[in-house]
Amino acid sequence: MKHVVLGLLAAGPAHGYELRRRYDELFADAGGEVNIGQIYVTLGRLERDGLVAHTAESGGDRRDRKVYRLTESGTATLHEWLSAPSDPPLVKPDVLLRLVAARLAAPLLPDVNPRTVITHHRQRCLEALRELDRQAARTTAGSVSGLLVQASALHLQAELRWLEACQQQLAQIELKTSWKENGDE
Amino acid sequence: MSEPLLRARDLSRTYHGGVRDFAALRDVSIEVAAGDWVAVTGPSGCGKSTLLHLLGGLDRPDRGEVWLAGQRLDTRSESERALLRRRHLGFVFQFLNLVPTMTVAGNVELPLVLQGIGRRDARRRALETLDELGVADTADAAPAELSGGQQQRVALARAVVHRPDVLLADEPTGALDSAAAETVLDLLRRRHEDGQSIVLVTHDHRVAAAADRVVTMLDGQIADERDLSGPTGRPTLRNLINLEG
Repeated sequence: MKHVVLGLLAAGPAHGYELRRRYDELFADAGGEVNIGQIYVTLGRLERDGLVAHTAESGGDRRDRKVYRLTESGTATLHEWLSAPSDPPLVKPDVLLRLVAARLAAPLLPDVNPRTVITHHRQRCLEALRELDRQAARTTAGSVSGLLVQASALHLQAELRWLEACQQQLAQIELKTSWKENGDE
Repeated sequence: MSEPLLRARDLSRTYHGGVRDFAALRDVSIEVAAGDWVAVTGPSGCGKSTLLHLLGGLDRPDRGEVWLAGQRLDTRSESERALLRRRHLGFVFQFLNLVPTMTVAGNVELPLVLQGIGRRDARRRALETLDELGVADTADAAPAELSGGQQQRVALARAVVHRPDVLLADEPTGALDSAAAETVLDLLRRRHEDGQSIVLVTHDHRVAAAADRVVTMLDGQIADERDLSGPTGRPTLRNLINLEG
């Protein structure tokens, strides 16, 4: 959230509600839900770190508003973040962990099947892909939500392809069980 | 329960020749009821195209049975199978099989003309279908004058124009860019809503996810079958994607 707020402020000084409006306009229905509390908490932290500063401005209505702006240090932080490479999209191997655990737990939990781990995940990925495809039709080319939908759809397709490979190699997924050799058998 | 439109039981098919025999299909059973949309997916070589060819009577299984509209298909002669195909199926091949000496419109009219529909009606319906797929402007061209993606859409138009009982399609979006693929998917969705039964083979999971049932094949066997037709949790975009974790 920190860098998103810095980015939103790069468009010009604004108070909290204005920042949320900018966020909602940009990300439409694609971004994570953001509430005004998150915005203010983030602004508070940024101010503590000297990345933003505020001036009080009487808004004509009943309340004074704090209008936030980037400090030099904030601009430098934003620049540094933009110049750094993004994280590569390496996957969290959640399914793989479950597969391995399902193998290990076979004697204890005989009703758990590694194949079921794969098929459940496939169902979920296919359903998500189906829904994304419906929503893709409602996004416009070049919009933030459109690009997010495309990214998610392509990652889901990669995941489904990887699941095929997993299932194909299921029989060969060998577990080092040398540390168990003295157990049963 | 009524007889499914298309039913295959314990299909096996081994290709001989080469260094060793290749079991393309092993004991595969599948049923397609009226109105079903089934996608068959899996890595290349998994047997999905072989299955489609057996379902369409283009090839015969070594073992097993194929029933189409209540009639046994696999034991018939080539000419009898061709007749059943023409009567009940629309087929989009990976190799497109357009008649090179006929215009695009002539190709698409063909299934209608073979059904005895008059020239004028056939022309109108052919043009409507071509238009749905965004290739109406190619109607008077020869197939060879079209791009690969255009030819693919013409082949699909020819396969659906006569509203066959079952549409069998092998990689119908294979040669298409994403916009053209979307046009094809839209057509399939509309036809499916009108009750068209569809069996399509694709390695593209996005296309597969549009179907109501997704069959995953691995090494000549059905490895998994998923039903997507039920109400899902209806994940919202916000739930699916979370910008900052």
